[in-house]
Amino acid sequence: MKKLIFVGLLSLYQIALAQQNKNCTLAYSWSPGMSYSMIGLDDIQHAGPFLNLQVIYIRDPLLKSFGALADSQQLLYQQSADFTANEIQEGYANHFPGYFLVNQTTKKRDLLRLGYTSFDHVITLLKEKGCVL
Amino acid sequence: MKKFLPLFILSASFISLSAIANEAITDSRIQIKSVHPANGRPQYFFKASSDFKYLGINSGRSRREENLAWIFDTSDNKTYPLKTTGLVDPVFIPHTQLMVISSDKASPYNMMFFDLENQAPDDFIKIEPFYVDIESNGLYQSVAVLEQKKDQIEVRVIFQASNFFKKDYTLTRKNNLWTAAVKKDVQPACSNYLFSMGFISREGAYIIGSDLTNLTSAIYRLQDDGACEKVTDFSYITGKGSFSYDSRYVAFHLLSDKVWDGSGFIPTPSGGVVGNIYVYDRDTSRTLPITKYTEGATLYPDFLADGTLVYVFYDADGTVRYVRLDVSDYIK
Repeated sequence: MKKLIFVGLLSLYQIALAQQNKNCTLAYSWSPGMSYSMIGLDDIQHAGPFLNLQVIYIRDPLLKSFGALADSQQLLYQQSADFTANEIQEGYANHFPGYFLVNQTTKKRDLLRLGYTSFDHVITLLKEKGCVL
Repeated sequence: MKKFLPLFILSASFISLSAIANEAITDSRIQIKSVHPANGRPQYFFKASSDFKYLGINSGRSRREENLAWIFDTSDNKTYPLKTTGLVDPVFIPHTQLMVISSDKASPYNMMFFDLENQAPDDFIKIEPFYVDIESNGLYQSVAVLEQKKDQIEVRVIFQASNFFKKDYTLTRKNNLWTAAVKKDVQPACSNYLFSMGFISREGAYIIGSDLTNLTSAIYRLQDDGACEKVTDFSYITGKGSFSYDSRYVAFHLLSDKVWDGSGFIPTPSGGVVGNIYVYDRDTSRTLPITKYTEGATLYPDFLADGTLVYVFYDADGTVRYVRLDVSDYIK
């Protein structure tokens, strides 16, 4: 019974948060070749849903070169095209992870941070950009 | 048959080296010194000891799994585990086989100092840090040597938290045992700029980082008071930079769908993205392409004390190698 009450309250909390969220979307770039980006992936996948945060995942464009990694880290044996040509040219794919705020109008991804940072700090960065979370 | 085996192995090595050279090196003045198969646990990021004896490699696993870093021994091409509470970015103190590893765990385990000198690689797993700084809380650390005497080294560690910080330590060796003490407490580094992924030069005077205001990489001169002066602005964000030991050159990788063909950049044959190595010369402000792979990726170049350069090469067939180049005749 206590469990049911907890789940119910959690759902209400999530609905309340969703109503407050100004539809900010976080884009997160990651690579199985970079350990901190895997840690950041864990952070977002575990904590993100509680904030009803919409996340777009951007994968390493070199992914086809991962033949030597463990099976659990293998991805499709083809290059990822998640980064745009412009983003690659600007150098955003030279570091993992990267945190970006997706512009709702232009869909352009504005860089918030390169390199791992705590999920709390990601939330702070989003709030500084006007996202209500 | 056995008589010809060494010859066969020698010629196979030669073919392998030639193939890598022909395909990948931008100039005939660049010489391949050695190629090492990355057995075991290749990861993108690594850092070499000054003498190229060891490469420090990330764990490559999530924090919910084991707490190990990995040390690649270039003499036998084997990878040995080092027990830590941090998974990532094991870096060497220049001119030593001492390492600094930051922890991604909560306090009290933060900046850890390890001594690999006079240790057999099989025993790395048993090594305890000779010093743990429980006050420093950050990551992406890099280390400069401010002063070095026979049994005493003054080092500066910079690391990233909300922004960058620096902290100086005195390391002392007595009866072959190292100890450490804080020499100068933590201070902001370059707090007048907002950047990430900063790496300090070997003597501590410069930092290369990714400027989060202009969205380009930049080189900063670090002043004694912790403020910085920007001295070089790139027009793009580079991979993590590595200063040469005289601080004249900075090596980095760039991912691109274009590759150097000797006179300019042309699209890769497949149209795919490749990683290649470049060296920026601070004296001439020139950026020199070092590799021209059209498939796979060369990443995370690191200068060694003798001026050679080592990088990790992910071949398109999935094999991974560490390659050491002598670029001195080309870049000087």
